[in-house]
Amino acid sequence: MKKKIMLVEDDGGILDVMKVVLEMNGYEVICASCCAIAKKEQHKAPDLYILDLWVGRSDGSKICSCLKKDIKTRHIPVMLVSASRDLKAVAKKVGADDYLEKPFEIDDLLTKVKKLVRGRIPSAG
Amino acid sequence: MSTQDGVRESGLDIVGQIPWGTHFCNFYKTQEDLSDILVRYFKAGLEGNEFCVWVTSEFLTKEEALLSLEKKVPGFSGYLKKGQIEIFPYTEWYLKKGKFEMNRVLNMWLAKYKEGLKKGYDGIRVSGNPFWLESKKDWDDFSQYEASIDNAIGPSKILVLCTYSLDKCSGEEIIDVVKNHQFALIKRNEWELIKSAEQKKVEAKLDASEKRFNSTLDNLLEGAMIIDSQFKYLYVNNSLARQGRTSKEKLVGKTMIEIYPQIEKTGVFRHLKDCMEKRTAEVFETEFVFPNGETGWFEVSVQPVPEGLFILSADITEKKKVEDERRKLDQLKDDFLGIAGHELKTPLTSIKAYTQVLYKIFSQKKDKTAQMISRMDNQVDRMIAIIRDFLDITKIKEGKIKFSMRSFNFSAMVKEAVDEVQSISGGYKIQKRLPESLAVFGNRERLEQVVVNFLTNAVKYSPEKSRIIVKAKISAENLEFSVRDFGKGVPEGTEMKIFERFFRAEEGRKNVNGLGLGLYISSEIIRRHNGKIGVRSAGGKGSLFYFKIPLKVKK
Repeated sequence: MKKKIMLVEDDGGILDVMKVVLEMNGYEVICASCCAIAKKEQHKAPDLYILDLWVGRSDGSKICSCLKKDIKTRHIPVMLVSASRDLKAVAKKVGADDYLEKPFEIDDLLTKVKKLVRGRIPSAG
Repeated sequence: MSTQDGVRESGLDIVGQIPWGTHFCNFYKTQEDLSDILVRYFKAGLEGNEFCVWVTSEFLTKEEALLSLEKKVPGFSGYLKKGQIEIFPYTEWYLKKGKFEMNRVLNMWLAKYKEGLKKGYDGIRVSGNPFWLESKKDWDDFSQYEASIDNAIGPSKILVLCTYSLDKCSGEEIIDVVKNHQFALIKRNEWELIKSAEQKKVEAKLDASEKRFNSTLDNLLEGAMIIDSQFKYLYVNNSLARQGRTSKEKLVGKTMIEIYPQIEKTGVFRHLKDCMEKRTAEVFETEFVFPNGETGWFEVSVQPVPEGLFILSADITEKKKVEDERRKLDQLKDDFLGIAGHELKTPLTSIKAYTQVLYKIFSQKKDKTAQMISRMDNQVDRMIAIIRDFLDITKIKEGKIKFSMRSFNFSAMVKEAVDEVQSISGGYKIQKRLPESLAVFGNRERLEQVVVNFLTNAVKYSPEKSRIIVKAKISAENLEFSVRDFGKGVPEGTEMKIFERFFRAEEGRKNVNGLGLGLYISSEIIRRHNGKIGVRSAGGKGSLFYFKIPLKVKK
């Protein structure tokens, strides 16, 4: 069974290429370009969230906080992605499991994703 | 009547006006001479709103004094009735308790002075007569007392006239008396004013020095003023009048509040009030709004003086304007760089990712496509390095880089950095000369940035793959770190410049990423550690980059 990743990113170009890369490497990717969609799709319970720090008017760090507070989602790993240099500090503050600075090497992306979803039983549905 | 602040009418033609604090004497032969001088002296005092105290002697008694005053001073009974003048026989003053005591008498005068001020008089005018002096000891005691008067009255609003009987004084005693007074009056046919040669010399010097001082002050480029405790302008120089958009004549004699009705609500006034009350000096910059709405910036230096405050002010409006413009431009530029940097990274992220996807796809084929794509990826990296430099520089300039300082093993950090650089720069032989453990207090991440910067520079600027030596040691409470390479070295005369923004040695320009901001950023990081950064170059035989930081950081 394929591992499922929910990708929330407002830049179409980045969203597109990350989807390509992750799918090429055997993951199922659900994309959301804004928080509203991300919330709507939440019931699909992915194996990993990849959140951009700035998503439209909202921001990934808030989604991360919410996910980590909710008993139903707190066990799902979250990785924050951003071009911001404060990323490391923000990630620590909101309890993200990992972070990746933009622009990134796709090898780094894949290594981190692999590590985060490893051992997780693929979600049903 | 007073004409100018601090200057009084003596009532004596030959003396004219005298400042507060004047202590002079008169030698008399006849009762008429004595009475003539003292009546005129006190008449001026009474008419000038001064509190008057006359201590009489047997040569001219209290009763005789009252008679003369009544005869010569119009409205004298009025002055006497309201207590503006008090007359004491010497037995109730100098010899009140049977004998003369210097401190008691000085305190009696000062008590009268305070009483006079309390009653609302401008100051006090007194006269005493030591006609009662008999023995040599009396003379010596009184002489000492006379010498103390100048110190006791200091800058107080007191005038003192001592009267001496010429017949009772020996030659030596006359010399004592003249010495103890600022000047003496004596009658030889006409009244004459005698000053000791010493006094004259001092006064001449003072006069010259005061003239020089006044002319300097008048024409100073800075504005200068003296204000009294009621914020009244006592002195104003030319520049100050210009700064105040008015003239000297309009200011002197008026209070600040009269000239600038809104001033009490301003910061300037609060500062001045504070200095006035606490008697403290202060230097501050302030914006001032003139009654016509114009504004100006001034640098003000305040110094308490006996009269009130001495204030220097420099008009820095133009300087402030320029500074303000520059700050705004700097902010605009930094904002722009920050936003532009972030916005540029977004498309680069997808370009880079696509490039790498393509590389993966084409790397299985046997043509040169993958190689070309890899070059593309390198170029993207170069652009990313430029943007990183931009962002670092804006943050450093804004002071936004946070330096959380802690203790860490410097050697371990250097080893990690060397391994990292070694892994991407095969062929170079990087030798480490480090102690096993080296505890340093600082920001690990930022110091690592400096170490990596030194190492990558060493690699970049020594294209012939050769040795690089990395050294760290403790020396005299400092950590000393250096990276030595055997490349082309730093061009002569540019040793200091390479730490400036955007400088790069021209020869090494090819194959180098970024903007050449690396060393500038490094120098900022070392500066924030209170350290020193530098380079020693041996012409074509390579260069040695080093930094020193104190082990104990002063907070």
